[in-house]
Amino acid sequence: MHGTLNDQSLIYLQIAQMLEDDILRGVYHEEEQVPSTNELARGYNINPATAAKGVNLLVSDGILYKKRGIGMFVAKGAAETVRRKRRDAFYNTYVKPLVQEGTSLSLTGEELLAMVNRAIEEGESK
Amino acid sequence: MGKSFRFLFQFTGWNVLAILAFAVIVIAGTIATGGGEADNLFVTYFRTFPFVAQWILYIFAFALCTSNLNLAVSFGARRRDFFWALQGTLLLYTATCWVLQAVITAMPGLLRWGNQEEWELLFNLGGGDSIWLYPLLCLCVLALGCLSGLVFGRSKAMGALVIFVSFLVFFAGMILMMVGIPAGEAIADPSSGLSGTLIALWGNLPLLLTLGLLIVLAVCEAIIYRTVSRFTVR
Amino acid sequence: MSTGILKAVGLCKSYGSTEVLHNLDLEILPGKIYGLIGRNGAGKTTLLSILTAQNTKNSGEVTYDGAPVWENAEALSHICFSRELQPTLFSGQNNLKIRHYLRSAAIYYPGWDRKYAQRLLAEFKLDEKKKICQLSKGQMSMVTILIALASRAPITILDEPAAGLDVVMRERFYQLLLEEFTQTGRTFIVSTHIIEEAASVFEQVIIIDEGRILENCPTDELIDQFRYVSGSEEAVAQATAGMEVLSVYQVGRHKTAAVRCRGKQISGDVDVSAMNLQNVFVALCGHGDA
Repeated sequence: MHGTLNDQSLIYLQIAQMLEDDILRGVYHEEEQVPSTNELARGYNINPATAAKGVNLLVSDGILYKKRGIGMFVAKGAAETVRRKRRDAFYNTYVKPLVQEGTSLSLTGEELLAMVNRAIEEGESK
Repeated sequence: MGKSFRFLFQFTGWNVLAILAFAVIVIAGTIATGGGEADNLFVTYFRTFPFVAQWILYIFAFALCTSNLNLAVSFGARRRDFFWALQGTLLLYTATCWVLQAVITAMPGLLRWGNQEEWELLFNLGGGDSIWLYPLLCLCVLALGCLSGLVFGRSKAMGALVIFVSFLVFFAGMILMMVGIPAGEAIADPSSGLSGTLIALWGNLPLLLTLGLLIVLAVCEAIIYRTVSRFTVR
Repeated sequence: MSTGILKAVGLCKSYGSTEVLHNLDLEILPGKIYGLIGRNGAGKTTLLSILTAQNTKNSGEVTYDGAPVWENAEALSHICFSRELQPTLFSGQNNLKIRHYLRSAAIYYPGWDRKYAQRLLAEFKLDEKKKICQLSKGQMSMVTILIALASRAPITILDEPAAGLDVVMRERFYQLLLEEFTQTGRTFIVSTHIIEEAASVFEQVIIIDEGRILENCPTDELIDQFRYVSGSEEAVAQATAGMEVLSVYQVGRHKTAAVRCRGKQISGDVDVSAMNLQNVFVALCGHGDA
C-alpha cells in the first residue's frame, strides 16, 4: 500500500477517516463527487473490496451517497455529520487518554485544565 | 486432444521437417552422384534409409515424453488427452517415414538404376513384400522411445534398462527383416532338406515378426498409458 | 465463463510415511483475491498442485463446480496454475524459449489475451526469443506473472510470484494484479512469503501451517482479533487474563504479549497496539518463539 496508509489500524477505517478529514477541511463540498472505489484502490494500491468497505461505512453513516452509474457524492450536511460523529468519539479518543496520561504523570485536575486553557489561548492568538 | 496435439506439434513439426529434409538431401545426393553407381555417404544412407530413419525416430520419441508431458500437464492438459495426442504424433512420424521409405524403395526401379540385386537390402529393410512390417516396426521403435524417455525421467537405472531392451528389439527386428526374410524363403523351400518345424518357423517369419512387434507395441503402450495417467507435475 | 467453487474436503497427502497435508478443508469462492501464506514446507505448493489436479492425493475430495477436478476438462480450462519456472528440466537445461511458453499458454487457456501478453512482454522488457535457461531469476518470475495475468482464467493461482523480483517490480506486480482484478473480477490465489507488502492486496487470507489450515477469513477481520499488549509483567498478566496469548517477549520487567482478544476490550495500565498481518502470521506460526 502507498503513502499515508499505515498498519496501525484497519485499512478501510483509514480510508473512511481520510475522506472524512477531507470533508471536514472542505476539500470536498456538499454534492461534490469523491474518488470512486476503484480510483481509491488504484491510488493506494489496495484491494477494491477494502476501499469499498471504507466508502460503504460512510454511506451507512449518511456522509456519502451513491448516484447510480456516476459515482459517490458528498451528502447534504455531511460536514456536520462528520463533526457530530467525531464529537461523540472525542471523549473516548482524546479526553480519556489525556486524563489517563495526566494521571500517570501525577498532574492534578487543575494543572490539566490550566494546560487546556493555555492551549486554547495559543490557538486563538494564531 | 486437439490442444495437446497442437502443443506437441510446436516441437514435432520441426522434427518432421528435419526427416523430410534429410531424405531430400540423401535422394538428391544419390541422384547427383550417378544413382547408386558411386560409393559415397549419400548412397550408403540411401541404401539403409529405413534403418537410419528408425534411429532418428527413436531419438525424437525419447524427447516427446520428458519435459513436454510435464509442461502440458502444468498448463492444465488432461493426461488422457495427452496420451491420445501422443498417439497422433506417433502416427504422423510413422506415416512420414513410411511414405519416404516407399518412395526411396521405388526409386531404383522407376529410375532404372542398374543392378537390382544391390537394392535388395533396401527392399528387405523395408519389410520386403510384407509392407505393413516397416510401419509396424516404426511404431514399435517410437513407442519404445517414448517409454524410454518416460522411465528415464523418473529413474536413470530403469531408464537405462528400457533403452537396452529397446535396442535389442530394434536390432532384432532389423536383422530379421534384413537377413531373415530372404533366408527364410530359402530355408522354407522344401528341397532345402531342413526339419519341418524350422521350415515352418522361417517360412512364417513375417507373421511371427508381426506378432512379436504387435506384442511389444501393446506392452509399451499399456505401460505408457499407465504412467501418463498417474503423472504428477514436478 | 461463470466461475464455480473450488473445494477441498478432507484432503490428505503423504510422501512415503510423511504426512504433508492433514485432513484439510478449503473452499475458494469466486471473485476474490486470496493470499495463501505459510512457512517453507507448510504445504502450500502441494496443496495448490492437488487443487489443480497436477498432483495426486491420498484421500479426500477436490471438486470444481461440484465435479472432481481430476482429468476434468472443464475445470482444467477454468484454472491457471502458474508455477515457478525451472532453469533445468529432466534432460538438462531448459532450452525452451519464452515464445514456446506463450504459444502453449495460448493453446491451453481459452481466455488467453494475446494483446495483453504482448503489452506485458514490452513492459517487462522480455525478449520472446530468449531461452528460459538464459533468464535471470527476476525475469523468470516475470514470465510466470505474465502467463498468469494474460491467461484470463476464471481462477488464477500464482505460486510465489514475487520470489525473484526486486521491491520496485514487486510493487508493480501488485499494481498489475489489482488492475486486472478491478477490471475483470477474476479469482486469484497468491501464495507468498512476503507477507506485509501483500496484505493490502488480499481480501481474504488463508494461513497454512504444517499441513493444516489455521485460518481462512477476510484479512481485516483476522487482523482485528489480535493486539499487542505491553507494560509491566503484572499489568499485562491481568489485562490478558482469560485471553489466548500467542507469544510473549520480555525485556527486563517490560513485557509485551501478542494476544488474540477477538474484539474483547483490554483495560488496565497497559499499552495496546494493533498487529499487522505479518505480526499475526509470526505469532500464529512461530510456535511461541518471538
